[in-house]
Amino acid sequence: MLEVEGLGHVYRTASGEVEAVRQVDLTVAEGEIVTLVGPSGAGKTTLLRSLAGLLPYSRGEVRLGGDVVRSPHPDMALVFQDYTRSLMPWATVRQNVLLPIRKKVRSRAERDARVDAALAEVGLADAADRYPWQLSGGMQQRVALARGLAYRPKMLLFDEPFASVDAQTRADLEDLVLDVCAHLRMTALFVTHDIDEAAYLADRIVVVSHRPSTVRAVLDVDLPRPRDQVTTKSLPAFAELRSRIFPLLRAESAEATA
Amino acid sequence: MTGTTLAPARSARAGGGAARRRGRGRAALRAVWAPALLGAALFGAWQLAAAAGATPGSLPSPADLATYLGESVLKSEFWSAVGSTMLSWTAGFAVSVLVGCALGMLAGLNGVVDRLLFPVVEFFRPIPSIVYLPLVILVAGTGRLSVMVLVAGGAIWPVLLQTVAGVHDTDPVLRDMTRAYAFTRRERMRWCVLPSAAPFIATGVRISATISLVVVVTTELVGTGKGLGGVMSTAYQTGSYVVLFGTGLAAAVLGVLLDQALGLLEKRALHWHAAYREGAR
Repeated sequence: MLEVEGLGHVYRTASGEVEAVRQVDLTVAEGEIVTLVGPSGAGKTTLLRSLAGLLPYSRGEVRLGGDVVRSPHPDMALVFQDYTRSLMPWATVRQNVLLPIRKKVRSRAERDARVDAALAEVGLADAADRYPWQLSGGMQQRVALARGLAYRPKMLLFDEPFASVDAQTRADLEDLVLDVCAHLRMTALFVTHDIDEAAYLADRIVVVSHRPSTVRAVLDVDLPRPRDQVTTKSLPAFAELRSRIFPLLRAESAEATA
Repeated sequence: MTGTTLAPARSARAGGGAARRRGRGRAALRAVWAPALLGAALFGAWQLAAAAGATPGSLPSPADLATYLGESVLKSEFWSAVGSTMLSWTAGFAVSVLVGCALGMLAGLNGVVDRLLFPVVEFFRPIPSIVYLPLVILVAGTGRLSVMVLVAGGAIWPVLLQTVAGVHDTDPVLRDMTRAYAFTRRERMRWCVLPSAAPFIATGVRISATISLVVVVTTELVGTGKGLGGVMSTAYQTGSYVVLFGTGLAAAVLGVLLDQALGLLEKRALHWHAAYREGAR
């Protein structure tokens, strides 16, 4: 579904060139959930914006279903890190979810049906006429997810979406993502800095280095599905996975701060 | 485009619903009573000074002005003067807002337009538009068109500058969102750029409304001889000081009412804004 080959990104600033992404190769197969984990400041957002077609990359190629991605692809939907900024406060929940498909879906009835289905999928059927700022942080991020789902993409990209919610909400949202992806057979690339989250969600984990980003390791995850916050996380295989990722990230941060 | 710009306060009020409402009620009462008391005290002092003969003979006492205004509001001449002033104000203010907004959008979205416009704006902005009055009247006469041109010359700047600042303030994450979800150009304007800029524009519009009234009354006073300013001009020439100051007071009240009305409009239009939210978390 998604193929990334030799991706590199160099920023040009007043004081010269800054290399944010050096060399990233990865693939996400159809129906697969791949998590991309890296230390804070690893250029993960830069990487994701390049994959989403929002940022022109300097080297390499991104392909989605065979198409070269140079600008936002209609089969890709993005869930942003900061829901307070990616949702429109002047629009209701319904409008926020509906606007992206206004041109895409001609029939009004079908449009409404899609929005209702997407809101029901994330458990927000009753919140359609409220404004995002009237909802809790977790609910707002559900709205952002519903917007992505209503777009009916072939692939969802998540940019550290749960970085700013509390632990309980975060666990609920992780389970929601798993449920939705399983239910809709969705392909997903999920960027996070949280090792547990990366391991819990993934079929495969891509560990990236501190900037300039390179892929340090790709780990297959064979934890059984459906997963559960308690039982999955107490499996020996989960602990082993954590213990493999942890040193990869820590060695990186130590180098970065040294 | 740089320059002084203002955004509405983004203070979100903390605290629970009922307590907040009570607090807000008390605050509203305080906000009304303090200036009302001060105003009453000032008028009282003025009245006492006038009764004691301590004010200049040409300055009427508040009681005289109140009597005059009380009689005026029953007469159609007063209301036709108010109507004429209001018509000029509406026309000039509307042109300022529309043109200021449109140019501001252009400059805010397009760097080339911004750079072209900026020096022109900075040159003309500090010039009081009333200095164009002789020229405008020579060219366009003493009709409403002249008033409109003069008002626009003075009142367009706050709207223009605030619009540019507002457009520049559009959140980059929101811009990414509209691109990722393939918003059309129109949708982007309607749902992203315009609402982002709206709080800034609203501030510009209110400043511009006040400037518009100042320019209208001044133009009437020294130029066209119509409306409230015209009444004042005639009263000044004939030495009817009660009429002069009474009409001035009426113009002042008109200004306050217009500003309050726009404030209410702003509050409704920007109900989603952090400064105006009801029942926010």
